Amino acid sequence: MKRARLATVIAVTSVSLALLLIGLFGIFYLNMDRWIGRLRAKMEIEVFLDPTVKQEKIDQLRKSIQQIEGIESVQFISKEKAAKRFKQEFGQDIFDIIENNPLPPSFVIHLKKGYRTYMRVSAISGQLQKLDAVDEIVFQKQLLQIVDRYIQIVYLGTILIGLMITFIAFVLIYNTIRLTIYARKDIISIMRLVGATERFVRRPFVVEGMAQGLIGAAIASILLFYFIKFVKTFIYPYLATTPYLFLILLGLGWLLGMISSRLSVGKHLQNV
Amino acid sequence: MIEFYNVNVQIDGKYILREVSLRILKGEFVYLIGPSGAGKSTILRLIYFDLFPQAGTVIVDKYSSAKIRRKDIPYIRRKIGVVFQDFKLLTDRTVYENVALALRVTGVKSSEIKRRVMRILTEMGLSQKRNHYPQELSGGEQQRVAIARAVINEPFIVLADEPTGNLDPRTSLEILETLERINKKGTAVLMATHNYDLIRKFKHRTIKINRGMIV
Repeated sequence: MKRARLATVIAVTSVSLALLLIGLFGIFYLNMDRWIGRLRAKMEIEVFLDPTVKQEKIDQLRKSIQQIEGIESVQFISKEKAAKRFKQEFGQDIFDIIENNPLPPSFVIHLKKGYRTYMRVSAISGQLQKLDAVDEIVFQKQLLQIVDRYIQIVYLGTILIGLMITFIAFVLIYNTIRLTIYARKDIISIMRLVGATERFVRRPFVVEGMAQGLIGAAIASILLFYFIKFVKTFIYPYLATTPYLFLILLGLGWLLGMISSRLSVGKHLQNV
Repeated sequence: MIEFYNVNVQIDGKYILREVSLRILKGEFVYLIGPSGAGKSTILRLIYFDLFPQAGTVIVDKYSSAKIRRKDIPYIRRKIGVVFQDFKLLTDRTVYENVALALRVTGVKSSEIKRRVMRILTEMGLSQKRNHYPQELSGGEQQRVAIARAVINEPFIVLADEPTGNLDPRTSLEILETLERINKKGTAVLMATHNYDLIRKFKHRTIKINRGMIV
């Protein structure tokens, strides 16, 4: 019985650890996603035009650009406006450095959501390149490439680690229920002797497994709550969170406890 | 009510029972005697369907060993009380809880459980010991708790497997008197024993068994 009790403590601890990590990954994911979303939203394609381009051609170009799939907005930056932007960005008047304005006119393009990945941007950039009077196309190629390539790896790694920890918690609950069954083999055999149905014999073990899962989840939720509070107070007040996260943790804990104890009972109760 | 037809039980290729046929009638008191290892416990286990014969048929109430489904077994066991030599009480539960368990598993309401357990404990002269743990009781008292647990569901038969095996002669006689009293109320009793002196005190039909065969 003592061994079973120790196993219970270990199982509950591991469930809370597993779910805490899943919760932390959840928060990490939320914030990462928001940050990357903003990064992508800020992303713009600059299409530099031949400095001698005529107004007529500009209007025509704008129309062609707008027809490309995935374009959200097109803004024309004239030579004069470009100089202003230069001043805004660098705090220095371009005319202080050189006498005539070397900045070419350009279009600044924003893309619709879902088109802000490296692959899509490159494709759109290729289409733009084919247009008349287009000199050069600039976008944050490298940043996009890095984000697109590594975010998948990070997410995949996160999911894998989460699954691994969940599996460990699963094995621990399974094993705890096994120990509990053997610790209570006397009462099980007496219950059967006096006419308990298998469902009746089985129920307390499944309930116990679910309780272990839920208690683990509750502990994980409390720890996560204070972790969020701590981060928001002392480190990063804009941390993105959602109350659903706690619901998900409780649901996962319950499910984890139920599935592992059911399997354990199915396997071990008949041997007692 | 209980009928055995040419029952064979083999365990690991060894015959435990061979061609056993017997019949126990409603309300009857029957001794099952024979030396240790003769197959007495096996006969009792066949009756509460803890064991099934390799050949032959065991019929208990309306159930047959050939046809009974796993899910029916709990329900027939509620009508059979079983008492063992080693009492098989739960040491971490009180006398009350040990007896109440037999009702709890059948889903009886707790107010009803309380009433019935108190009544049976009083009948057994154990009501003042209800909050004791088994190890605080004498052997005879423990066996009476076990009997109380066996009869609380009002079974049609009580199977007693060497119920006096661990008890001194005087206590043994008390236990036998208790079983006698239960039998008087209409419950059949099948008592396996090798205590030949004891069974002379109350005369009943005796089934003798040796090496797995009725003699």
